[in-house]
Amino acid sequence: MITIDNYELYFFQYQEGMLDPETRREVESFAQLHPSLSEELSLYAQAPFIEPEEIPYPDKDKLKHKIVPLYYWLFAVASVVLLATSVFIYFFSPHFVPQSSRVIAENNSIQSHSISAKTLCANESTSITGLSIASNQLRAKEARPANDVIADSRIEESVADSISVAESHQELPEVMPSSIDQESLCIAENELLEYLSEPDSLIIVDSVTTIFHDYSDVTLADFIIDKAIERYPLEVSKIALFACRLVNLSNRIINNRFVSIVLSNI
Amino acid sequence: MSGEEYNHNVDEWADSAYRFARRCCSDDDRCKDAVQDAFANLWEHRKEVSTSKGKQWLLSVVHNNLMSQYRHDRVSEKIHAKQSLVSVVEPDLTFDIHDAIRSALQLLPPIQRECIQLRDVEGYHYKEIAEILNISDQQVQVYIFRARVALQKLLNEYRK
Repeated sequence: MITIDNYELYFFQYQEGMLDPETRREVESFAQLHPSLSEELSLYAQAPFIEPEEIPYPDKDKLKHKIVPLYYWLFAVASVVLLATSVFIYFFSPHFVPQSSRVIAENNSIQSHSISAKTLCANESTSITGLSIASNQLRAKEARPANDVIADSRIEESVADSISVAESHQELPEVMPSSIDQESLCIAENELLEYLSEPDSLIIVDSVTTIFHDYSDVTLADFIIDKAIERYPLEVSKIALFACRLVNLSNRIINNRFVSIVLSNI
Repeated sequence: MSGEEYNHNVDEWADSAYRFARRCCSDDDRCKDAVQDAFANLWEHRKEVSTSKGKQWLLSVVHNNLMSQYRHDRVSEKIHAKQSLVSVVEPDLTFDIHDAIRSALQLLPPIQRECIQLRDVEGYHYKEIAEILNISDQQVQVYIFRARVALQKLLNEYRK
């Protein structure tokens, strides 16, 4: 039913042709009853339509977003994964030893000489020979300036003295052979061959000592010394120094044959 | 809606949204801000909005934005509209129907302006207008009726 409250809706639908004939008649009779409202019907019919107007938005580009294609993301992710994998493999490989760590290890080796010598002194059961050899080696190492030939010869004399003392005391026990881990052996051998290409023989001795220190195996050290003698026959006396260091470093048994090799070459 | 479709919507509907805003509000900066907000909103919700509903979404956000601002400064808006009607019409003694309609539109309540704009200019059906403005379609019809009657009254007064 058309009332004063809802007449606008009916008037609109009347003008838009949305009403059935019966309702249209109702609207017309309502308009006749309310002349003031019927004026609105004619006003609506006269009202102009709003014409479309061209009002372009000034900065459409600012509203847009840059779209990065999916394959760009895939490529970026793949690159990051590849890089991370490479870094992981490089740094966390079981055979990787950074250069800086090598230097630190060598420095630690020198320090360990002092500690080892002190330990030898403190231990009453330690042989006089071991103590003598260790002390001599330690002094030699600490006194030696870099590339000093005279100092090197003194070291050799000192080592020879120590070994002579050892021989006279007959205190060197037999080596207890142990099984050699093939992989460690291979790595140690490769490292040794690399060091043997160095011109300074003392560097070789240092390096061999380091290798022993790293792998802590007398049998392996035995093997390494064999290799060193084979490659460096003129430097046997310096390898004797290494033998001394073995005692100093490990406080373990040393093979008699080192002594005989050394004595025959000095 | 994908990113490419969103950018396509910008090309397609930025003008309509801006025109709709300009019809409803005389402040150009406010209109630009409303359109910008609407597109930012569309980008945020692009996964929920289908491409076919993009324009409706935009107009709806523009409407909400302008209406909330209108509620804040209803009085000053009306005064400004009256002044602009005077400034547009009075100096020019020749009757320009388009200017007069534009000015008269500014005197209408915003909801009526929006309804008539969406119907006449954007060509939406009553039900679509109802969705955009979040009102019933019968309310849309009543608002359009009132708007046309008021517009014609204003034009008649001006002619006198």
